[in-house]
Amino acid sequence: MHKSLLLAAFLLTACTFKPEEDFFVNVEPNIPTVTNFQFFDEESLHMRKTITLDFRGASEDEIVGYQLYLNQILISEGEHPYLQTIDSREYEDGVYTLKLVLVKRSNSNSLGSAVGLEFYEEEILKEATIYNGPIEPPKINFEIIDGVLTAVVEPYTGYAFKDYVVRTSETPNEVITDQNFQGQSIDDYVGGSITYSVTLHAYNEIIESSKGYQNTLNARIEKTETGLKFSWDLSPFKNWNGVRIGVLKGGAYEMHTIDKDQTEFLLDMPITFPYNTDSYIETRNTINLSGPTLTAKGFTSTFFSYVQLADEPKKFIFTESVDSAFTVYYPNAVVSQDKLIRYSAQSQEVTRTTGTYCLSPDRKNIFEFRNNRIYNINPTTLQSVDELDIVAAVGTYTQFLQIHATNSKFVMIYVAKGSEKWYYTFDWSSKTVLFSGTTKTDYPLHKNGQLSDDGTLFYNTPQAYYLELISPNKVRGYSNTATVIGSTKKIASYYDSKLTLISCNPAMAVVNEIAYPKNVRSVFSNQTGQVAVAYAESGVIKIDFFNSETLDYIKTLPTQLHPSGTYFFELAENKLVVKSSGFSFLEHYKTEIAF
Amino acid sequence: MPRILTLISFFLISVSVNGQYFVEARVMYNTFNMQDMKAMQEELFDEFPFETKATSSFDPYAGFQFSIGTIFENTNSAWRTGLIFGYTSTGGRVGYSDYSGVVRGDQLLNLVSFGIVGGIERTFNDTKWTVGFDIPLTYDLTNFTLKNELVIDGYPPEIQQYEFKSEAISVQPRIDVFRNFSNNISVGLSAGYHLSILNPDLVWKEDGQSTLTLQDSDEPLKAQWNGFRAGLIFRYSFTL
Repeated sequence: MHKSLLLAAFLLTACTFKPEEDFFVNVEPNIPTVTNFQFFDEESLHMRKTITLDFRGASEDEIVGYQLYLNQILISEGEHPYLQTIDSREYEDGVYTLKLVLVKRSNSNSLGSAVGLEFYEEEILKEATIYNGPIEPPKINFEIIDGVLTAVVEPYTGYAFKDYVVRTSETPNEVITDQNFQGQSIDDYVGGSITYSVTLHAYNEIIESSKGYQNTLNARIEKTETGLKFSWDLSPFKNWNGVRIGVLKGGAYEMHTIDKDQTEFLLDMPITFPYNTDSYIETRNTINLSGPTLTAKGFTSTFFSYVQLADEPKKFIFTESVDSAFTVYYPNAVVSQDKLIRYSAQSQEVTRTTGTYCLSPDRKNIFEFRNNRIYNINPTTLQSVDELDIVAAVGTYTQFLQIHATNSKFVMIYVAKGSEKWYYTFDWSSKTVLFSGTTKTDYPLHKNGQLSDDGTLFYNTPQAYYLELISPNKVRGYSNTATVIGSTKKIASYYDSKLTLISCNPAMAVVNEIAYPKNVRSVFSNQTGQVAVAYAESGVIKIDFFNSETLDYIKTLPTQLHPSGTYFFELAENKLVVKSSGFSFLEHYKTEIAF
Repeated sequence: MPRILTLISFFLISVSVNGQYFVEARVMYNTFNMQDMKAMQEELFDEFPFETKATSSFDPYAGFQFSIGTIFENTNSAWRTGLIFGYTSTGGRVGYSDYSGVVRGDQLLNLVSFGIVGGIERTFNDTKWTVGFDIPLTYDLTNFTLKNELVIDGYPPEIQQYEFKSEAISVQPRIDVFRNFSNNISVGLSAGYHLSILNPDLVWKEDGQSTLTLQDSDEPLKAQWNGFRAGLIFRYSFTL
């Protein structure tokens, strides 16, 4: 029965009407092509960090969607318009194939197109390079090639190069699009300093490398019979035309242009230039050595000072220029304003002699003891002006101890007569003894007394440490080394490692005091309002200057005086007078400034 | 249904006392009026945005009938009566297709008929030929499937299908000519006409009352099976 029903159902189905096949129309597909779509202009897409892909086809293209593949792996898809940000750091550095599949609606006459369900895909392939490593800026080195300064650039070899922007401190920006750019010559460059910068634009990043170059002029200055000889070496550069040397006189330059072929320049020095502490900066002549003027670059004004420090053998010191980066230093010389000031303090008028500038001798005479006579020596001629027979003057003595103190009018000597020590003060004009006396010990009296211009003798004895103002007043003080500050009538003394100001009145009260633990040899002062203390240190005599009221430290003057010598110091007006006893004072006194 | 079978059994037993029985199978060639269906097909043309074409339009189609009954013989003629079951179908298709897909609208109808048949026949030429006339009275069940289909390559098909039905009473007067090859086997030809005498509207099976109308008409559509019927008859006669 069941089979019969199945058979009946089969017969019914088989006999049921079947419509004819569908009406088929032969329509040609119209495969659309993208007419206006840009998928990056470059052949290769460089991806670094995050990159935003913005695909917007023309409206007539009816793009409905996108699929983005990286090496056949679907990484993103979306509808039109398609804005996709890809973080390339999620992928390893390397070269990939980036495939963009455009899904475009068909515009055929077909049924599928009519109902909007017919699409075509179009693939666009690009090479994509992912690089997230560091971008190395071009390395810059300077070389002098054929006499021309050349900036040698190690070009950028990475991806996504856009351009270089080259600039120097002398030239405007220059855009270079050749990735293999390997540098350029700086033809006009001769001297001075220059900064060469290369800014790399790669991807959207800006990396700059910069390197400076500085050229110094190896100039030499020598003294000649008539002036100064400048010589220099501008090799290895060839693009220069000459040298300018300027002499600054009173604020204006006297320029000397020197041809390229000339390798030295002789500057006559017809200048006698007095200067003093207050004005030496302005009045001091300065020589300006400058570079080629016919070229636009290079050094233009390099200055150097010409003075010599008393304690250093260097004669010329090049200082930094005013309006140029180019700096020339005289070999090994060091500029120190502090030293210059000190030098001024001890300088004398400078006059030019044959090849030698010398300090003028002290206007006061130099007294020298030889052959039982005191000679009055002219400091310029070093010839004796007059003399005094000491035996005739003071009688027989057993030992000449010191010429104790001198000035233009008075001479004090210190001699031994048997077991006694005697001092004698002469009025040199008359060669007569003004004062005389004995000391009770052999304490070196000369260390503690001095003569003033009016013949006043200040001294103390080792026992009492007092000072006697012999004329016109008389004061007493306590000091082993002391002097009287003339205008203020104070006594500057050194005692018990202290530098002390003592009021010059009968009470002898201490008005100021500072600790001063040095090997003091003498304390002296004058009308300048300064107290000077000579002390032995590091094998030489040095002199410290203090304010005579406050004892504030002012400066230190190093000397070449040996501590074994015996010296007398006097602070005269605007100068320091150093006096020596014995036979060695001329050596020290004839301090020379030799250009 | 059990009542009908009981009635048929009673009928056959009551008439078989002095008669001969027969079983007939008819393979029919049917034409159909289907005026309403064709009108609806015309409307479908306009719904497609293409130049559509009707590949089938309720064309004549085959059917079959089965009959079983008894023959009461007289001298030169005989009465026959029996039960009849028939099936036929037709349909229309409007559509369009190209490389991208196909869109089509099918109207499929089938007709299941069952009823009674009664007639008269006469034998000629030493019983070699028999000519008969009968009229089946049938109860007709029509199933109408309206199916719209859109198939685009690469996409799942979109199908809209609605089922309708109608129940009608019809008669089919016909003339048969048999060639009797033996006392039992006869082969004949038949010609007749299907005439619906009671033909209600097609109604939607889902709610049993919604009907179909054309756009410019309020008249519900009907399944119009009226048409000529021709057939090849196979008869087996036997006696119990």
